[in-house]
Amino acid sequence: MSVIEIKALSVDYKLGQKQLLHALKSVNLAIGAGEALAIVGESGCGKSTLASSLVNLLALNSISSGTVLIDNKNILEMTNKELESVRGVKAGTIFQDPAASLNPVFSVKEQIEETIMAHLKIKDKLKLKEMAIKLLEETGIKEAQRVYESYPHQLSGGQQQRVMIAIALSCSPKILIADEPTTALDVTVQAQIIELLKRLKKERNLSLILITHDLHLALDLCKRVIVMYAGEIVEDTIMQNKEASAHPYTRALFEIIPDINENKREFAVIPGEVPDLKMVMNECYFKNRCHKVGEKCGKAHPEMVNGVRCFYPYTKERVKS
Amino acid sequence: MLKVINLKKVFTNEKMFGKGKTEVIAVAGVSFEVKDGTIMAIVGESGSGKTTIARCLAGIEIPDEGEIIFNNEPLMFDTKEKRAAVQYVFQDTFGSLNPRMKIGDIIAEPIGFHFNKTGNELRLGVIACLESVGLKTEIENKYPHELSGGQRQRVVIARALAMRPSLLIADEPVSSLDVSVQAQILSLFQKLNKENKISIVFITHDLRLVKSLADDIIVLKDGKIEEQGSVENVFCKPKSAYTKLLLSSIPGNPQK
Repeated sequence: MSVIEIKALSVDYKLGQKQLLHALKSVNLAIGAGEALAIVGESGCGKSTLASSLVNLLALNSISSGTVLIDNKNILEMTNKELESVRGVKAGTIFQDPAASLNPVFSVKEQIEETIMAHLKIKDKLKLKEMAIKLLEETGIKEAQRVYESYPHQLSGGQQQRVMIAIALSCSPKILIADEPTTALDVTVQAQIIELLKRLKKERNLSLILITHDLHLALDLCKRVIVMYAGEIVEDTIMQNKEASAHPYTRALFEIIPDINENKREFAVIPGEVPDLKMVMNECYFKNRCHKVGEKCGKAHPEMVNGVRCFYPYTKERVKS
Repeated sequence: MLKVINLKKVFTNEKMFGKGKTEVIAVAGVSFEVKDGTIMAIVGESGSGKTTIARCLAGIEIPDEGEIIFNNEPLMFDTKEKRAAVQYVFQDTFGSLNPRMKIGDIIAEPIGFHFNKTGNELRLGVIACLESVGLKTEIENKYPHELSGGQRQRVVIARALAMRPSLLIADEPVSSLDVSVQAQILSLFQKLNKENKISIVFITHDLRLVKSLADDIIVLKDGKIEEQGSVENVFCKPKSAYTKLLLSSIPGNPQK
């Protein structure tokens, strides 16, 4: 039983008078209860647009078609009032820059309690405080009492992100959307936050959607990986390592981040840049950057077959788990 | 070629209304040596003093104690040649380029000033610089905001190369770039190091980049050196507990 079901979702952004930027092109995706899923790709591949459309946080100049079903209700057709019962309650979100997501003029106490008050209609002050402190402790904050009374600027980046996670979980959502949650953090803090997300996912049986450009990070947390390129899903696989992927783009994404266990002295490079999203082409969008390019690539647009959108995919090596 | 001996830098903040001072020790006695034609990586988390070291090497900050010896002389920027010999690339590409100048002019300005070139000779110099970093020559008529982040960082590198430096200091040059662009810029650094024999001090928080790029590494923590040595030694046989922690924090590292 899937918690989120996306059918033929397309999102275009209006640019000026007649131009359209096709950010998402007919995306189909189903996410099950308690499933951890990573969405991976370069900047401008549509990762964040996909995440925003899950809670209908799309920009005003967007035109969307298709359906996003959460509990069999279409998010894209909801009014703002109806969306209040989805955002925060059914799906919590955390973003890249915790300092920008928290309001600098309100204390942590006010920001956590505001969310609980608004959604769960609890007004008793002692009860609110108890819930807030419990949430902070659950996210691994040691001095919960002090953090509870602090303002965002008094906290470190890691603590701020933990507060964001506490707010996102305050109404016990079943879905957590994390959009590049560790990009602004130091490596050691990044590892802690990933451990935290892992633990929370298990304890609360969350459906976790992690958006990242770092495939290695994605595999630390998720089994299922969705690779996006130019507004499309190009690969949707359960994978443990590079050999279990089939699309040349996925393999290239693995290679551009140097592997610490190898003794290579050069960097693998994907030549060129992400294509212009204003054009719709009847060919493979990765054609010009692909090293496996063949005859068919320029003639037709590949369809999704067995979880891969490629005419000449690699054969997956099944790794016994 | 570059020797840093016991470098110290302390910042004093005067409190508002003159009530006392607080001292922040940014760099507490750091010594290292960069050999000719090698890449030295300085790694550490936020607040470890990486950038302060870069700023001292750049002459933007004056160290409180210690010496910086460059080509057997104390590092000074009193002549044109000495200023040209050390060049810098910073993280924020947008802040490094004048938004009102065309790319061609941005690169032409230092060439004209340092090497007294004009007219056609100057233009050829600009084109050579752009080509050496893999940019197309049409770009010279564009403004910084018209370029992508990766292209802007290439322009910054081209401008630094125009001075024919023997030492390049790069402070988090790829941190604000997309993963695929990162790899492109890093292989450019490697090419410059090999082909132009430029020594590079590469400052980063991402240990993964270091292993394939650098020859030597310094791990900094709270302004002090936790560990230093060749990349092979530090990565394969880390001695300090902090280095081990950093290594185990890398995503996808099975050593956990």
